[in-house]
Amino acid sequence: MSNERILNTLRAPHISEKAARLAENNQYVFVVAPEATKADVRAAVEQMFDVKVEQVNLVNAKGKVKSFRFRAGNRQGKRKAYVRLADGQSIDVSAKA
Amino acid sequence: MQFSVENVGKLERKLTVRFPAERFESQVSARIAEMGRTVRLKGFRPGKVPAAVIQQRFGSQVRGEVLSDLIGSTLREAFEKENLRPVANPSIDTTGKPENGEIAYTATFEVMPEFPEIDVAGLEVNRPVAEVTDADIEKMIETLRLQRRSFDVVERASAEGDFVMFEYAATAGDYRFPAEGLERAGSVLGSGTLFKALDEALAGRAAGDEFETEINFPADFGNPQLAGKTAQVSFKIVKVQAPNLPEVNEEFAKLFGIADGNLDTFRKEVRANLERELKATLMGRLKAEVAERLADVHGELEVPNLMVQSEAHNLAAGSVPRGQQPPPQLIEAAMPMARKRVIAGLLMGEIARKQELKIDRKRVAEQLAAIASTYEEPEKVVELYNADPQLMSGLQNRVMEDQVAEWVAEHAKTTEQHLAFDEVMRPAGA
Repeated sequence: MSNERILNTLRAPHISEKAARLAENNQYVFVVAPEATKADVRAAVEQMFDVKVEQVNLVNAKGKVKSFRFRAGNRQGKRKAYVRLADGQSIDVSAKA
Repeated sequence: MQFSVENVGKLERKLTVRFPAERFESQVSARIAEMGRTVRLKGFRPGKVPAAVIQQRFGSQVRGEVLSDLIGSTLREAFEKENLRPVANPSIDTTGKPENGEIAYTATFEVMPEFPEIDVAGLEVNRPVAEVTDADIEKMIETLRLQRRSFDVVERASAEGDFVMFEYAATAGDYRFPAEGLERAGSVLGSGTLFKALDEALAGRAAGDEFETEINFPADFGNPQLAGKTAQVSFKIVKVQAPNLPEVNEEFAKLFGIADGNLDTFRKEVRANLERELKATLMGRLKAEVAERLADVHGELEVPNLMVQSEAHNLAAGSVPRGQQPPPQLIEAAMPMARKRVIAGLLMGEIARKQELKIDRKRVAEQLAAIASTYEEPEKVVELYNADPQLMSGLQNRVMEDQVAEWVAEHAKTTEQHLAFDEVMRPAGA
């Protein structure tokens, strides 16, 4: 996989209460590129943070439908990756983000 | 908490303090727990932010704050126990990392010098004394009249004290001023507004006169092309005005805010004003005198370098335009003077402490009233002073210095030096 693709895969850490809870279980959440595959995310996380990834789950979250002046509009959706690391490994998300 | 003091220089101290790391850590976690309740982070409901996240986000900031708080409080504690009086803020050096369960830091600072016995009785102080006499008042009124004089156009030739308006052109070599036409100027003869040679040339001329003469321009003349040169100057007198001094009467008194125009009240007012000015000047002179003598006697007193430096900086800053950094050589030059002032200031403070001189509320109020009375709206000035602690403490300091100076003058070998009013007010011109 090209270097450019790796750098384009991970968009941002996804910060939420759920993500904070999961971080205690060695699972980290990222917003990733819409076209990214599990293999892409695995390669990207392993290379960027220098860790061993055990499992990647991907979720497509659709954007909310919001209306403005009786006109329906769509918020942008996002693709989230739940990345489980091998035991004993961790990522300092805020340090790199 | 443990601490040890080390004497580095005569006045410099190095204080090493250690305190247990637990004390630090417990405060950090307390602070983080408190933040958890108040902080708002995106992605978390208020109050639901986990401690780990806060630690990650604000950890270093919180640690820094807690550390500086702890250093501040332990330092105060140490100063109190060791009875140290630091002059300025100490400079702190620390790793901030716990070692063997303890956090250590060193503070370097200068302390107040040990004061020797201040022998006031041996001081020889010259105390200037002066009074406002009737002659001074007359003189003052004369000055006021001169300020309020009006000028009337007259047809006669000009004499001393007259205002002469004229047009002129000066030619020196191939330089002509102004380049073409005539320059208009005015002068009160004999007042020294313009230089003497010009005044002489203008004396005895009536309006409409035209003449040419040679004039030696003084070396310090404003126009460098003419300064120090002899020039052929052609004059044209425009008008001559004779001064008209106002009579000292009710009208005149009213000009100065005496509503009923009573001349006695006017004189009284003038006297009060002069006396206030005289009092302030005498006090200032006495203060300077006392400071001078004190500094002379205790010239070898070891004083904190920092204070001397900042005083020198202040002194040097006074001689350059506001907001500019004074050049280093100026500061250097101000050093001996600054040293003297610091010594005098410290000694006066020490005297006040030893003699337990208290700030005299009444004097502060008096001083304040005196300051306020020179403004248009005295009540507002008083209000301003009362509202601003900084202004007030400046005023209190001044009063305190006055009191110390007076106390010293009372207890020293004081010789009274009788001076005339003018000698006090204008020491250089007398």
